[in-house]
Amino acid sequence: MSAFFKVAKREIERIFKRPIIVFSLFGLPIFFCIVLMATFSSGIPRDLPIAVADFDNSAISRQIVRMVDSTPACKVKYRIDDIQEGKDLLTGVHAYGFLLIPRDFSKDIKRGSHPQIVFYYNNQMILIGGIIDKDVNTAIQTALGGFDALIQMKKGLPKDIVLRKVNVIRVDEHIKGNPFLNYSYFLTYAAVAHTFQIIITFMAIWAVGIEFKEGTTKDWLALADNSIITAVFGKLFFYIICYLTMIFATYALYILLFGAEFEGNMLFLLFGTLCFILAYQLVGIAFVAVTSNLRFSFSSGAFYTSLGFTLAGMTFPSIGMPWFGRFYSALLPVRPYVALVIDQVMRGFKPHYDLIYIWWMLGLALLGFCFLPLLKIHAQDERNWFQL
Amino acid sequence: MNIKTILNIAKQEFTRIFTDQGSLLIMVAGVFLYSVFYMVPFCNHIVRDIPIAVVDMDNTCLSREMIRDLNSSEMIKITSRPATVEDAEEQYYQNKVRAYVVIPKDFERDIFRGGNSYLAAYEDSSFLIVYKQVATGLFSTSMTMGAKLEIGSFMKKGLSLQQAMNIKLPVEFVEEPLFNPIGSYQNYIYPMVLMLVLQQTLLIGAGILCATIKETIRGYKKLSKDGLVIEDKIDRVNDFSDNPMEIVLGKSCAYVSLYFIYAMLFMFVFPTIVVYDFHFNFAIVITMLLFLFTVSFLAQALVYFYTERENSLLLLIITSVPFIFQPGLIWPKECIPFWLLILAKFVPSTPGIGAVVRMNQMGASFLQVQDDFWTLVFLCGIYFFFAYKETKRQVDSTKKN
Repeated sequence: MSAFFKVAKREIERIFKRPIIVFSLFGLPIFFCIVLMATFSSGIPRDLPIAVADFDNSAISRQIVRMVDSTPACKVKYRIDDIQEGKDLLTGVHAYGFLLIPRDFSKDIKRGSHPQIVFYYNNQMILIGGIIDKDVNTAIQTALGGFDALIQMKKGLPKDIVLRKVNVIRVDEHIKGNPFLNYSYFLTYAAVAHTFQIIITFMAIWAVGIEFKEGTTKDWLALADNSIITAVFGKLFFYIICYLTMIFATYALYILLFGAEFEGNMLFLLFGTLCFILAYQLVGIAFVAVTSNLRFSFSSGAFYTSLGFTLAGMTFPSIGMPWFGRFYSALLPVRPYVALVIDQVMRGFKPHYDLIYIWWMLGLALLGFCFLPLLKIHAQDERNWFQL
Repeated sequence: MNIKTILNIAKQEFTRIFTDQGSLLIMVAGVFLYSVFYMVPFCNHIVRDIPIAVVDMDNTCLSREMIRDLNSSEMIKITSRPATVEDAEEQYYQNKVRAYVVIPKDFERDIFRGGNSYLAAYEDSSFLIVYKQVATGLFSTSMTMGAKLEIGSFMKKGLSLQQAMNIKLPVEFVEEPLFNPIGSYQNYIYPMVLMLVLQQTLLIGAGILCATIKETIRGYKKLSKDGLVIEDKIDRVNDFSDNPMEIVLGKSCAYVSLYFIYAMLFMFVFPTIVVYDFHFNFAIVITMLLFLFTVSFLAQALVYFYTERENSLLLLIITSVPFIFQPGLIWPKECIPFWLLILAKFVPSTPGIGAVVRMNQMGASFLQVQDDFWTLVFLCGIYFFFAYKETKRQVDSTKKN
């Protein structure tokens, strides 16, 4: 058996001796991927509760309420009598917005005295507030457009003026990538990649760091014929196989269960995933190479990866961040990886447009690779053993 | 139960936080670094100036005016003016622009003849925040432009400005955002992140400290000063007491007193640095204390699962992202499956974030967040019980040594 496979075999034995490591390797990412998929399983948020204060109670106002109720995002769940009641529903998170139709609303329209409809929505929850506000806006504009045309025509304005004023310049939207505006796709892909980046880094740190903690670095190097490259890649081999399988199983499950579409190139995505795994593993090992201490490496790895979700632009796009945020996110392989996954899975880009992301991840992997000689020096020094 | 013993335990644990490099890095350096680093991504509050391309097939006075108006919208920024749709598409694929707009031929002629025209917008919607900004920018610009043209044309037909305005806007529809009027992401995410930083660093840091004791009861190899491998072993869980109740309470007092300082900093000092809204309410302080005690007890209960001191890091870092979605403030709770909502209630941050963020961001009163408060009281009780059980197990195992 070649040195590479001897190291790989030894690593597998070491993993399965420790239940907590087996659990971290398989149980943890699988469990949290299921939790994340379940969280976003409903796709587009529908029937979010809102409240209505209809002080007019006329045919027109009831029509408006019906139209708002029939939008996909909203459901009129509460009838309220004043603004305070509406605010209480919002702070209690029982409703996300409330609509206020003033007294004599329909009379005022006919009189031409410019009445106001107000929609208050919870903007502390930007995503939810945005979804309901967009639907309520569309429903009300449509409703009002209809009433107006009727009223103006009764007043004797020529029909062409009336019809035209509904919209002179409309925007014809051709939505690419995610035509149903399903919020869950992006969040799920990003969150799954984030979960894996943490566990990939941690397991790579553990695999090498534990040799220091238990004082076995020399046995490990000896088994690899003293080649640090064989030693490291022999170790990583099993993890790479596991993660490739798990990440792909997650995507497949997600696509099958939730009907997400796959538009891109499967092989290219597979190669991208391999680069993603390698980049995190080598960066993780670089932490061990520098500190030669398992716990320090864990803490550094924790800090490096856990900022990933936000700084890689999952919650807030990186184009909106100051230079520091963009700089930090450039150091995280999850940033190009999520861009590549989105491009391939949702947007159906041709691989050559995404080659830059591959180079980006390989660059970070190379950065980690450069620390391997240092790792070898530290691994041969017994003073680095048994450190807390 | 002896108050003095509890205080002694607390004092000793407090020193351990600062002398153990593992916990020092997480519970002191980590808290500061995370809370400071998280100021960065959202400090621009909202996304502006998203790059888009415009293809002008009409090339008239009106189409150029349209382009100027689009460019002056704060949401979008025209970064390129390709000559053909194919060029625009290429730039879209190269990720240079997030959307491209085509102004059709005869745009001006159709409008001046009294008809309608359109803007063809090709937008990327994989990233919804970006899509929403682009769509809002395009819609509001085209609406304003349309209104301008209409009012002009009504006036040409002999109506007064007032009449023309009334026809254009017979009803005013006002959208009034409550609680976070500018839609700042800082106000949206940062308060939640701070709560999560408190919980996660406390769980991990206290986990390291307590698991170290557990590992030392079993005995582990370490390097002595003169370079020899020796085995370190202790025979008492705590120097002051063998009573698990006192140990759990004493340690928790140490953690909570340190974390309470952080919580106060986050509440009173950070809002002035980072500029995010903050409503103060005395119930927040009480809820925060309850939350911190619950987390301390949970940290000590989780030691049951650890065999080595690094285990808490390995097992818990991954949980932050799933946890932040559970309180239902980012993703609506109506959309989360019921079993998951129930399961998530057992994580202190779910009711903790729910109660504190609603009080300090949305100005809720204590009565309005009661549901979350009582959930925390319940969790505090059960986690104290499990922490007691786990500590008792350790005490019993030392007696066997």
